[in-house]
Amino acid sequence: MSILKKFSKTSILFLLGAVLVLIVVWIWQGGFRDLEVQPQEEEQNEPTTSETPQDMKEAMFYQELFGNWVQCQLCFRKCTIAEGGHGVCRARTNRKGTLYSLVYSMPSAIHIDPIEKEPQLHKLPGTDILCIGTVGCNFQCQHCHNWHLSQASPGELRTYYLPPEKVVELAIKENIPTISYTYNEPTVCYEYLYEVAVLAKEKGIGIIWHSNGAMNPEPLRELLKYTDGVTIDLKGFTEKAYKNSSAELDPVLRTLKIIKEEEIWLEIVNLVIPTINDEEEDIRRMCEWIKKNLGYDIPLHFSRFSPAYKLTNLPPTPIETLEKAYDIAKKVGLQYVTIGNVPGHKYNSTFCPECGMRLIYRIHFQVLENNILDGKCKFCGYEISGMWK
Amino acid sequence: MKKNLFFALVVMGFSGIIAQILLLRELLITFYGNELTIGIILANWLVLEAFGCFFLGKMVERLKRPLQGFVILQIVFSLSLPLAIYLTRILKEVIGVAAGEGLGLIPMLYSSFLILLPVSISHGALFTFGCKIYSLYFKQDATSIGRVYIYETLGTIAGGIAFNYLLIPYFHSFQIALGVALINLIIGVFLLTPFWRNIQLSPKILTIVSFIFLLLTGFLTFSQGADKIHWLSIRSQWKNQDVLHYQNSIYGNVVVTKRGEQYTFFSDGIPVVTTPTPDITFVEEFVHLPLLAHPGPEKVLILSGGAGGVIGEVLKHPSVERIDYVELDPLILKIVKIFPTPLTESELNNPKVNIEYIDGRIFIKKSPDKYDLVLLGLSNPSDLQVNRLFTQEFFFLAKERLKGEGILVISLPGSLTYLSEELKNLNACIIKTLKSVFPYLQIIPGDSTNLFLASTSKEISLINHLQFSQRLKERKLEVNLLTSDHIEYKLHSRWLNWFLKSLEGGTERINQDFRPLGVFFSLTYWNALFSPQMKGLFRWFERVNLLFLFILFFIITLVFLLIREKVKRLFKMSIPLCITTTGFAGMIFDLALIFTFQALYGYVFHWIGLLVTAFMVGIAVGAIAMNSLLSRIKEDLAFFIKIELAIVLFSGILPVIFLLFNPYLDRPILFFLLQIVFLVLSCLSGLLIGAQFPLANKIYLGSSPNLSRTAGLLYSADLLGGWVSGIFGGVVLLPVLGLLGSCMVVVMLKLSSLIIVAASARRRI
Repeated sequence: MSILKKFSKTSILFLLGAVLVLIVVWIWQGGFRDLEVQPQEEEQNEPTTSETPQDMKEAMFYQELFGNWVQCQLCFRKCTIAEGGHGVCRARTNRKGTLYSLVYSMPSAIHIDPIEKEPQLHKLPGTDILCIGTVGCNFQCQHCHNWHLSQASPGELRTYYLPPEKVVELAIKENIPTISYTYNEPTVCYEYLYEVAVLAKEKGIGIIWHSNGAMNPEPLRELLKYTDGVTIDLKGFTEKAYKNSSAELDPVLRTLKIIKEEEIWLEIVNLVIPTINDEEEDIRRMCEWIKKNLGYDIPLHFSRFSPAYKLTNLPPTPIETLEKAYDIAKKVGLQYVTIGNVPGHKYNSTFCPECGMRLIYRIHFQVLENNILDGKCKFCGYEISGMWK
Repeated sequence: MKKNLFFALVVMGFSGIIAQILLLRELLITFYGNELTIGIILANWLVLEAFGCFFLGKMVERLKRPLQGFVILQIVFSLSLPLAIYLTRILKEVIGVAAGEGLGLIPMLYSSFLILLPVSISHGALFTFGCKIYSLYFKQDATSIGRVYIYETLGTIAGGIAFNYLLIPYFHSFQIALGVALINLIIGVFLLTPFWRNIQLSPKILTIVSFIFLLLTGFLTFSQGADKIHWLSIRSQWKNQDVLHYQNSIYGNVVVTKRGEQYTFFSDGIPVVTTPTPDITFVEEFVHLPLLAHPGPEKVLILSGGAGGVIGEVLKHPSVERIDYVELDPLILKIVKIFPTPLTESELNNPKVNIEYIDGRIFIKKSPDKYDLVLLGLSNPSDLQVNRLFTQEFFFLAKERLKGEGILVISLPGSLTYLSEELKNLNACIIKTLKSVFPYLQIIPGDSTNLFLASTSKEISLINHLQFSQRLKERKLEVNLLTSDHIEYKLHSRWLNWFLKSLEGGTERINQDFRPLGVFFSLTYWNALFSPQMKGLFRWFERVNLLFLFILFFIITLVFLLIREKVKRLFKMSIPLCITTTGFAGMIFDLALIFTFQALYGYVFHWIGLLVTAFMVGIAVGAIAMNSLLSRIKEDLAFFIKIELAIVLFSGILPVIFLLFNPYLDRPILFFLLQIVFLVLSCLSGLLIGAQFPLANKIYLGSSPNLSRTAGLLYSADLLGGWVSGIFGGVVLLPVLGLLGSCMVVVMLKLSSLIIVAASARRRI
């Protein structure tokens, strides 16, 4: 207090008053209660990680390089990974010269949804799928709807522990005919998906996956042996469109051709984003390419964009643009074209290319009417491509 | 000459505030406007001003002709302001980000820093130069800094008023910026003319240069040039989109773009209305699920976001008799009417629809009506203003406006895939708050939007999808998305079970007017999206408490007291330290007063303006009074410490007043009186801060007679304090610690600087 003796008594009174007010207010507001708040029990909420080697699954496709470096051979990026490092997808790591998957048996999302949400519109309409998603992605789309999963790293998120046999058991228990790997990129959990696919095939459960289509040919062909259907996101037909996803177009086109070659059921989704991939000319070239390389009976879904993730400053896709894209695709000669994410739109439904009657009446993900009998149009008998049983 | 100098200093304040608001608004259109981005921009402005004021300002001592330096700074300021606006608009193109992409924290930090750099630094340096010149002409050291401070403040008051009432409604940014440049250049020429009689060449050259820029600026302002630059930059800002309309209101900016047959209306860069086809999934679920949950909705209140789909869907219900639609800014609806579509026309011209242009919080407080449904059209409490519609106090008000079976409907960001920590806390906080007011709550998780239906009637929690489907049929709604299958899917128990399970471990704290945690959780969510690498920092912020800060300040003070004997220079720093903490306190007071006022009285633009003006007037009056007292004060330090104590006392009393009065606000006299109290408090807080500054200068000059160094140091110390509270005040302190906690932080901080200055004083004496 010697400091304060230099000053008048009023100063001391002032100071005491201030301190008093401070204390009174603090207690009144329950200040001490605040102080007692213990640090949150972190352990409980801490997500489980699979960072210890015995929990991790060795990757199926990679090359050992000199000095404990490895090169992942799974997707077009072919990441060269130093010891302790991760791939671009964040889901694979190099431990002492061995590449491991960090998401094997560790899904972060397990849900039941209609197959129309996938979308796989020509496969068992109106049935449910068991959807599995893990963490990480080899693309970085600025409009990703599932960025919580795709742009995170393993270890950051809560996970379930669900080994392949349990996935198949769950599907059987819930009486779900199809298992789908979706939400984030299934490529990054390749080993998990592959083993589930092998088991599912044995038990008669269908396997589909929704991918950006940038897997390398060798793993792709291996996986397709056990796959029933694939949905590929074709993010546009220009390098500019792929720049928005920090990726490349060519590997995706290669994938599409391989799926066709292996005769696996394929559907394509094209999210039309204003200013990024909505040029009519590009859409026409894309449709022509599909017809020429994949065939006229590949279902193509144009989907409406609405602002998401980082693409927050763009308008939603005009309906007119989607309808124009539909017209272009039809004119080019594609048989099964639909418009998605515009509930109530006429072309949300599938029409018979022969007689023009409505085959599947669809509103968003709900099927209200199905006029396909034994894989044929009920009205004219035209054979409709797809997997109807 | 003296008159010219006076004008120059007032214009300096005038231009400063205009440049600051103008660039803030422009940057917010390019950035994503929330409490954090506003804080970052203001903080960058302040720190750059401080830099200019101190480092560049110091150079004035070495200049032979400081006046010419002043004029050069004016030229730099004048030219860089329009340039900064242009850069803001073409920013995304320059840094290679798609026009539709939002920017994260890091790019915002550095890009706003670089854009503001020339403007703020030159403006900051003008202050120090002004002080030096003023002291040269008036031969007084101590009071001249105070005088310059006063003139600048007067200019700031004038600029703030002129900007909002005379400039924004009638001119676009380039016209305003060029106008400001014009005034500055004219003043520059006037300042130089007395030197023409000298033999030196330099003033003449400088005058000619000024004159050339003056002509150029004048030409651009009065020809089509400004318009051309304006549209050129807008086309880059909205790249590949056809911009049809661009207009500002006092609240913000509205842009209309056209693509095909579709109009999109942007508010501050974010699409808010899309015609003719809205986001069908959102509007149908947001409107019909709640309306179907009600047995017979007649009166509906929509707070924001009604036009372009929501009203249209509400009108489909045959029992609806009246819709009150509340929107704060009339501009957006005015512009929607300029580009009519059948949907918006039928919404806005329907006799059942009554539109009120008022703050939602005021409306719900004043309206005597009772409603069957209250729909809140804003889905994210990302700033203090919006958060007022997500607090416990607001929910109580809404509850009073609901009829017996009435339902309050709010929405929050969600996901049906994975609920991240950030989403979890945001949702948990608001759910907890809703549950503290309403006994019954129906949660409908969604793919990007979660819906919350709160009611005092038990029916809301018992209703099942069969009843929804039944009512859907009975009311014969013509809808696109909603089918009984879809409703069954949406309401399936597996979604709710998963959602509630994911919510476990979420925050237990609730969102209140005086502790607006919603803002914090919303910002945390936004940050996770753009800067996931900084998630940890935000988690740490969440746990900040008074004890931690108390210990921190205690240790800092202790360390200072211990090493003061060793390090002599530290004494001198005690005065600037006090000014920094005062700058911090000033910003917190200003923020706290405005935000408390908004919580209690709603957002009334003119009142907010009045509060800020009262604060600035307080500063000016305080500085004037102190300046005239300066020569008569004998014990400078003792007086300084008294002011310090007064600030401590003020920050202790400030929250107490509000907490004391809050429960009695229903009484009309108190309700009115407290508004006056607000003005008085604003003025008083300014007064204390303003009074301290000249005195600090006098004390500091006593130990180091370098005037421009003193002026620069103290002014930048003040700005630096503002910088800290600018970034943390609205983002962490107020939301996490609350009004009271924030004021307690000010008390602790001021006490610690007070002890330091008192200890240093003892040594000096």
